[in-house]
Amino acid sequence: MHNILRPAALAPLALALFAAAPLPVQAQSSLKLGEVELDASLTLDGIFARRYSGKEGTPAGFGHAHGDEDHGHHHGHSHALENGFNAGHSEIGLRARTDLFDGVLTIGFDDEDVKVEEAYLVTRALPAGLRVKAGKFLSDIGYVNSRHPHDWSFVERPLVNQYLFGDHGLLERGVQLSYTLPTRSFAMLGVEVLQGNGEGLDRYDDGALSARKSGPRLLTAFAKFGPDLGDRHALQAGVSGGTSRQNVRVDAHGDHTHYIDGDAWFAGADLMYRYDAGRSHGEGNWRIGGEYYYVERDVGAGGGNRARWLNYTEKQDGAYIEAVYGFAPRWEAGVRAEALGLNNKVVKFHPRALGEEDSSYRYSAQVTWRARETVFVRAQLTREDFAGQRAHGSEAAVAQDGSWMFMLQLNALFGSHPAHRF
Amino acid sequence: MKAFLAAVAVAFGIALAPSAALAEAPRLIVVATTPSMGVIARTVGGDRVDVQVLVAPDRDAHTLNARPSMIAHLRRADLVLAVGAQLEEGWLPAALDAAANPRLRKGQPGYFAAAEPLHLRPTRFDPALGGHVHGEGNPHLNLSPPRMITVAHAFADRLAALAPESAPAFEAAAAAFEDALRSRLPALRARFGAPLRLVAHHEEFDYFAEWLPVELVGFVEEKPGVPPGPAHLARLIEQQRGQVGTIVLANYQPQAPARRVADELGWPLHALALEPATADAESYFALIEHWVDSLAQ
Repeated sequence: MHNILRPAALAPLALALFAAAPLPVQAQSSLKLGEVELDASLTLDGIFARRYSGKEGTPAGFGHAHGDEDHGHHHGHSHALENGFNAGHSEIGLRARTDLFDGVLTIGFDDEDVKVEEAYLVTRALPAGLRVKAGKFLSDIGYVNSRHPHDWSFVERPLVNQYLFGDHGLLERGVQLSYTLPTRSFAMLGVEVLQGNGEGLDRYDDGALSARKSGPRLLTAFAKFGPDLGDRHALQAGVSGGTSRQNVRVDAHGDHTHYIDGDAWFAGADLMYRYDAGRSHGEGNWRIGGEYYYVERDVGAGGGNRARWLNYTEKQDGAYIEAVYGFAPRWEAGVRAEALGLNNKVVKFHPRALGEEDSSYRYSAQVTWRARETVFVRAQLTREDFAGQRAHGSEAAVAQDGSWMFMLQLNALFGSHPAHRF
Repeated sequence: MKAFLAAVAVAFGIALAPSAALAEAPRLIVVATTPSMGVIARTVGGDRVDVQVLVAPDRDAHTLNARPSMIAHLRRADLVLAVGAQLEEGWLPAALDAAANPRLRKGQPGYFAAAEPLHLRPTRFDPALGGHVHGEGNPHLNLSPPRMITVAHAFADRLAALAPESAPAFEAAAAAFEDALRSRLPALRARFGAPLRLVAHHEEFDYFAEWLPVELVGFVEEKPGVPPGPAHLARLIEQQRGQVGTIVLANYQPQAPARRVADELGWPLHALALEPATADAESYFALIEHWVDSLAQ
């Protein structure tokens, strides 16, 4: 515990930075290139993190999620926060608007990786409430999935989104068709045909022997509904679901490798309520919301020892609920409770049976100061209570110590940014 | 096959006949962003339009959050009447995108931005200072009755393009609005004695100088949309000390800094409603009376 820079020392540092360098925030003016309107923005994000007890772990039953190096799945970079300074999630966003369609490009980067996160076209001129989106985009299932990190109310992606859909959420190549109904209340339906190259229910690990099924492998659908509750209240409820044609998981055991091959489906529900007090800079406003997802995977063993394996139905789920309140102009505070694996039946390797793992929990509390409309500093305290994996053939779970974490996030957006959705 | 098609055509004809009779004067669905724009829509459109207003009178249209119900209104609209000049930039584009109503695309007759037919007063803030600068000008044109008249006429032309058979009615309604408004202005101006010196929280009150004997001599904000620092307030107080004036701000703006300036200078402070309580001409007339009542005391 001999940190040179303790969090308490960093907060005044950040404050001094803002006092010294007032950031010019231009109104959201677009660049005009002939008939094309171009919005360009740069989002910079940095996180100072400190884990006070326990260590970074993976919720039991979700250890096969990538980033867990015990299982040999190598992803380019880890999203786990290390003690000290972290690069966070920064973005360059471009949106070109024409009469017929918009083109959107989002490049995500940290200090090591640069990645095209979104690149898609979306129509503007189809009749009767129809829209088609094509390219690589964040799926519109649920609430948080399609939101970029600077729109989140907490530093981290919700566990349920991370562990069921991947470290970037459900982010895929494909086509989306959506239809906004001509009803008095807001209602929207959508379907997505996606390639299925993700890390969640469409995963396909390196080292599997069975052939990759041809794409598209993932089909999703969503419905959103929002009644008119007047000027102060706004509500949106949604349901979503999807199926994946193939889900392949590899478990490397040193000299030999197991893998299971199957298909998967999910269903979920989401709710977001906003209260607008009508005071300046968000004072008195509330945001209360939550999401729940359930996933089933019908899996059997792939490879040569298939005959000795049965088929199993894995069942997992997760949920979060959060509330954020604007307690002063430009200041908000929020709490979030998360559960992962309330249902947690997964195949374990070697034991040829379905195992039942315990549930994991995470609790977060944050205070955010929005120095400007587009700049915020967030302090967050998080308690992780992750269940430990049960050992092979044992009923006793290997205990994981609970963790306390402190995070300080600094996020600034420059340039013209598309308007925010509900 | 032909008989079947004929039967289908007849069936459709019967189904459509009553609605065709009703459709003799189909009402256009107009979505107005602010109550002031609702005034224009309802006054000019009369009984040829159904008007839906998205922003409540006591809200700042600039910092509003998009609501799902806005999308539903825009989805069914024939025309959207926005202020423009980036006032609604934080939420209207997103709501329009989700509504996926091609009638309301920019450049279509169904998209009308009031700021377009006007030369707006330029922003009074120095862009080099930063803050929330409106590059296209000061969008708070509803604080200027003469500009509201210009918008009413331009909107009448636009409605006429969508419903040509009612063009004379729209033009007559706009002219009646102009007459009613213009006839009120001399009496309102006459209620001021000496020209009034105003310090405003934000720059929207700049429009008062166009039609009232007032002079804007300072702003509580140093940078638009950014809370002022103590140094700026001290400077403002020092500049105005010993002089006579009035402090104004909108009823949705934070009062503390303006209150401090008012207390130091001993000036009256007025937190004014900037939007009419309901979207009709009488409410707008009542609003400008309210402004003059407050300022010309």
